[in-house]
Amino acid sequence: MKSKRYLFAVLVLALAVIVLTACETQTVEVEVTRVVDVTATPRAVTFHEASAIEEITAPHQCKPLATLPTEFSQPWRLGFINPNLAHPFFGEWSGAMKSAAEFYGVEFFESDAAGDYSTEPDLLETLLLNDLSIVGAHGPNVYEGLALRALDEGIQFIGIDNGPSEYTPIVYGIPDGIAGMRGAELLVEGVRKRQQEDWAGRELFFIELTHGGIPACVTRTGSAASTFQEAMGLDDDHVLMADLTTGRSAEDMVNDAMTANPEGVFAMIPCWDGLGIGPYNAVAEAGNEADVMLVTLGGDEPPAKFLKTRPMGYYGFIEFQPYCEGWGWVEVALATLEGLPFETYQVRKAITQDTVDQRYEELYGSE
Amino acid sequence: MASGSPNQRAGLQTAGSDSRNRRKRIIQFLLDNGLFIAFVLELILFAAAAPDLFVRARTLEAILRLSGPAGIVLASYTITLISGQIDLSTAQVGGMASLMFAAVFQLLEWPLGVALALTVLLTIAVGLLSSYLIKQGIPSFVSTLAVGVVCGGIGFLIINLTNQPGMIRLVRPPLRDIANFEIIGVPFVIPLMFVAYAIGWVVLNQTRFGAHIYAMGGNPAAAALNGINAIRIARIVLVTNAVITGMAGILIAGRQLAAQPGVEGLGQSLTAALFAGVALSGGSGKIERTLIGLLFLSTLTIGLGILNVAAPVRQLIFGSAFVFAILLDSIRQQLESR
Repeated sequence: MKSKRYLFAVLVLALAVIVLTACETQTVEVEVTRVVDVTATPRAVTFHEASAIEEITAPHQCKPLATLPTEFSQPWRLGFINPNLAHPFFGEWSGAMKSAAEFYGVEFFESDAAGDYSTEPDLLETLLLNDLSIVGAHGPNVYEGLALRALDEGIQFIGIDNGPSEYTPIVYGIPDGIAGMRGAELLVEGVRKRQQEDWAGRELFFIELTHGGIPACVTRTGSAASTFQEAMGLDDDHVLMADLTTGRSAEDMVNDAMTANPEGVFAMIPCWDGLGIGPYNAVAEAGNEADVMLVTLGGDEPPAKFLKTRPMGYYGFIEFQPYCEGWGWVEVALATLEGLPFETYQVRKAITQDTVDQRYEELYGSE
Repeated sequence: MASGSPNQRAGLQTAGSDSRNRRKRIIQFLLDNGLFIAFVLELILFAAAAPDLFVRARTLEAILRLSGPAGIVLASYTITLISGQIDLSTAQVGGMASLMFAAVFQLLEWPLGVALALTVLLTIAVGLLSSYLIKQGIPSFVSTLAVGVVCGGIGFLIINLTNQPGMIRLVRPPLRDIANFEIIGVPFVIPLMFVAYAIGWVVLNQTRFGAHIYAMGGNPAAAALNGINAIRIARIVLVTNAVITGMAGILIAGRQLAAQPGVEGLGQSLTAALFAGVALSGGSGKIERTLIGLLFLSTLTIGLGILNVAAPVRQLIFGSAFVFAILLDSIRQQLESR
């Protein structure tokens, strides 16, 4: 009898949800009509100056990606699922997005996936309760589902560093092909210097450290590999790939390559900083630091700090300027909502051992 | 040395016994109804903390949407637990099934029915393997843990053989439309969850098979003496659980538009079941209560999200909830053994 009462209660709850949800759907339709009437009102528009944005984002000095009005047509509400607030790179996104939202006078809602991308669909459900105007996320394996879910709710999705999707027309983030190419150009510069010195006459190999499950990585390191191969005239046998989707660690794969070619020297580019610095340290621990040269892609505080210690084979990094990337996401989102044009995000800075001290002080102050 | 007359001592003993009984009744009441009280308190707390955002039909829909796939699995998982089996392979079985389905349906472009049938066959094989290991005398949590590792391996193998980048994109119609299908504005996964629960309730409460499940979970030796075939019941229960988990894995992959090894979101089944009074040792528990346990956890997820509680704190709260659920199970068993 008790069980029947519980079952009855559960069925009543289910029916109540269905009825309430159906009722709410009708209410939303009415609200949409009202909003259209309001936006039809004409008004005078002034725009934010680019110099003001460079000033307020100092020391990053972000270049605005869109010229946005000082007053928007609606009180927009932006939402973003940050992949991991504890990660320095993504933490900078968060800080920048909050500052940009405050600067432009819009509301910003944020969720933290804490490094677990699989939780993002659930976090999106919660975030959507804030009646967002637009939502974004970084999630290599889940972003298409997120974009479709946002579309179901009648709002647009703008991801970061995800790649294209058929559910959103906007692809925003690091231009992976260009970033990889810039990294390879920096590495070529470093390798040519070494070839004038202790690497003269040594057999050169290139190791592409990547993650085949992340489309952005495949493009980024693939571009680096082809640029480096062409510049240095390497044949395919001298271009090696260490792919994390094989289930092996980058350290092990680099070690295998070096063991198989004991007379060789190795130039490496990883998809992100940590993926290169880990194997580099393992090689250094084994006493083979003189045989490797590394350029990384990303460049937040940890790699900058490491580069300041002048490791023998760590030539430098391409700085993605995560703060400006996060700031730019807000601008692109607002430009999309206002129907204004916007520019693509650019990677501008290559940092080496010669320039890292000054750059570090600009961004993080003296240690 | 006791003082006073024998009548006084007897009176004191009776009063002591009454007090103990009263305390036991209160504890028993809390154990029986604590979940409902906690759920109501939780709703009141979040409603008071964020009335504008929480007290809305849309929030309720989000809670149910979140519960959907996990709820479908939980219905069969509860039956598995009541039968005395602990299945630790759900995340891997769900992932493997979604990858198998995606490989056949998305990459080979075979018909939906064929892809589903092949996936069901694979999950049946998984359930049979788990029950075979149990038949060999290996405890269910060890058997299913090992089988889960095998399923995880099969998932990665499917990805490698199909040369996919860590996942299989799953966007071919009509699956996309089915996974996101709505009935009068409600995602169909919600009514499906209630149907799964209704079926589970009927099986457990209205059939001889359900009575056998309780008997086997409560006392396997006594059940065997009464002619109940424990191995056969374990086989049916584990195979059913593997098939339903596989189907839920496909639903989740359909929602995410990507199949990948290991489906998260099914892991809270055990916590929800323990919260609801299903004994880890089997033999007791009510399936309808596990739905409340699941709604409690989903409400917690949504409520903490609305209050913008930091991710590490959320993790801590869910970890504590799991510890508390295990503790409740232990107290319940101690009371029953007295």
